Amino acid sequence: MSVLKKINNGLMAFIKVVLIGAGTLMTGLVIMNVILRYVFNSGLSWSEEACRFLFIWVTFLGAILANDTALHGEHMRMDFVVEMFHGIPRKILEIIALLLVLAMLAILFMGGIELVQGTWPMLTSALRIPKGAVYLCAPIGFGYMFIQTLVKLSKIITLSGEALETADTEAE
Amino acid sequence: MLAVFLIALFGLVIIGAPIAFSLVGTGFFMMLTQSLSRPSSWSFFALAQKFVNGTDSVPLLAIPFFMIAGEIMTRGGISRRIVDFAYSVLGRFKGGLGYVGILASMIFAGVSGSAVADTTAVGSMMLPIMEGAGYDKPKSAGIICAAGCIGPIIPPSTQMIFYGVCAEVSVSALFLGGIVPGILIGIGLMVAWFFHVRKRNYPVGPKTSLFGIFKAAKEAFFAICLPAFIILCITTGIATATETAALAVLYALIVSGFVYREFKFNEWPNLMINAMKSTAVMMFVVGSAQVAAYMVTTCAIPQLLAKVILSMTNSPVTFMLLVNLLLILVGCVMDSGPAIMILTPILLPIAKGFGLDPVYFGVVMVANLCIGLATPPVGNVLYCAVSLSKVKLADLIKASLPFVGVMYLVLLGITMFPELILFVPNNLG
Repeated sequence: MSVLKKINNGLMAFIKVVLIGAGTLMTGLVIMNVILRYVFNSGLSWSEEACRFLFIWVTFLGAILANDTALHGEHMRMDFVVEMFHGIPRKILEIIALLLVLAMLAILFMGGIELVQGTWPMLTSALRIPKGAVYLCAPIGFGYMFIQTLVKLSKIITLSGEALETADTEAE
Repeated sequence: MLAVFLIALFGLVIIGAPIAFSLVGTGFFMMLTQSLSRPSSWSFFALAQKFVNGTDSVPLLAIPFFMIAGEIMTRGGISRRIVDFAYSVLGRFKGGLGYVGILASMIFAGVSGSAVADTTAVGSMMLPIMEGAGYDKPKSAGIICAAGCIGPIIPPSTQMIFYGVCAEVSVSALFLGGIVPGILIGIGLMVAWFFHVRKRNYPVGPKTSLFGIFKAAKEAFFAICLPAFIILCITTGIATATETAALAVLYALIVSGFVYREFKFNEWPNLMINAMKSTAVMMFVVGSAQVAAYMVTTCAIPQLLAKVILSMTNSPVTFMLLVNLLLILVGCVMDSGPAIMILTPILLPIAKGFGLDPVYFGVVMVANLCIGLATPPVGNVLYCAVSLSKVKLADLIKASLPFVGVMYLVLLGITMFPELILFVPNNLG
């Protein structure tokens, strides 16, 4: 378990570095394009495409990172109804919700693989890279989130009802 | 099919599944029901593709940029300067700190696109001062909470970018359309505060001379200039909303880093990680909303709903009142971002059928859902004000009720008179 935890922590640190780099690069590219347009009357044809692709990767890598913190992660959810339940009913609700999430992630993962396979032969218009390489972030993101959710599920099953209710606040 | 949509969506949301997966699940269950007998026509590929394509959007890139610009300005000591300036103008009146809070929120709304950022920036400065001056604690928190909702109505605005992308409407036009409603809500709140102050024994602040106002304005000059800069870029067409947002980051870096010298550049990595992470969380909902929207369109939900509505009324005014009522209810239980992404593909086609302007419809929708951020049980701004003021939730809800009521009254006004919204974008945009 601790080895897996180390691998996970290393991965999250790596994602953070990528997010900083991608975010800075996107900001720089957009600003540069405005300056090029008005000062030098030209522009980089590939910069918009690069920004779009970076943005897609940021979305999926950031989603993994947001799913990593605390028990429920930082993804938007409505918890005020669930919080009215306690003990066993609460646990059952949480397990059902996670099983449904797992099902959706599995579907999206499989669809993502099909998407990458289907678009790999196509090249993007400006950068001339395979479209599948851009979309690769989808199966990676959905796949890793599937694993994360499995771990969450095992935690929820083992935690007692009381510990479950304080799990998020303790993790902060 | 409408029933499948509603049951799947609300069922998943209520049991606490993340909004993103509730939306994907809704799309999936609709796909199942639509072709129950033909499993071969189920396409996981289409679901994943809609999801990824939903996140492939340059206009949405403006959201993290505006977020970063606002954050840099806040760390650069901008909130203090804005509050000082507002105080020099309005501090002289009885109960002046309340007006100061409203005006500061309105100015800050022009810097940030988020209601929570607005409430935090102004509330963390104003609430301790208001308490120290002997103001009613829940009422102070209530007015700051209500004023914070102006954040996404006055441009820039995260919610308007969401709507612009969903509705394929110019984000710039929406931004311009939000200016007058935002100012009207601010004025409405000031009037409401005036009636609260009348019955109280609040202290009167010192009178600042014209020179003092000038000095405070000079200090806050670069902060006040950012909203003007943003509006200028958009109205003249120098830059798109996304480019304007990136330029705002550059502007914020220069002002906070070199002019005010309060922003440390080693804060950049952390700031970036947080901005990218919150953006990813939002984009995940955007992508999943596209999955649901795809099935909503495929199953002709808007047409189904239009038939129901047309059987009740054929007046656009009644329709808009019904929409507002629906949005108030939705705003109580749902965050504004997901609500916009789910409801726009359903309601906008019907609104267009009534001959309504998509910019007008968008501003009303955004304004309504942003006021909803201050209503329980789901209200980000409300909880933000609770944690800032340490007032009990129930007390805050009671104290902010008249202010929220006034905001809904202004909303009714802009709903009845579309010109209030459309005048600026039609003449400047």
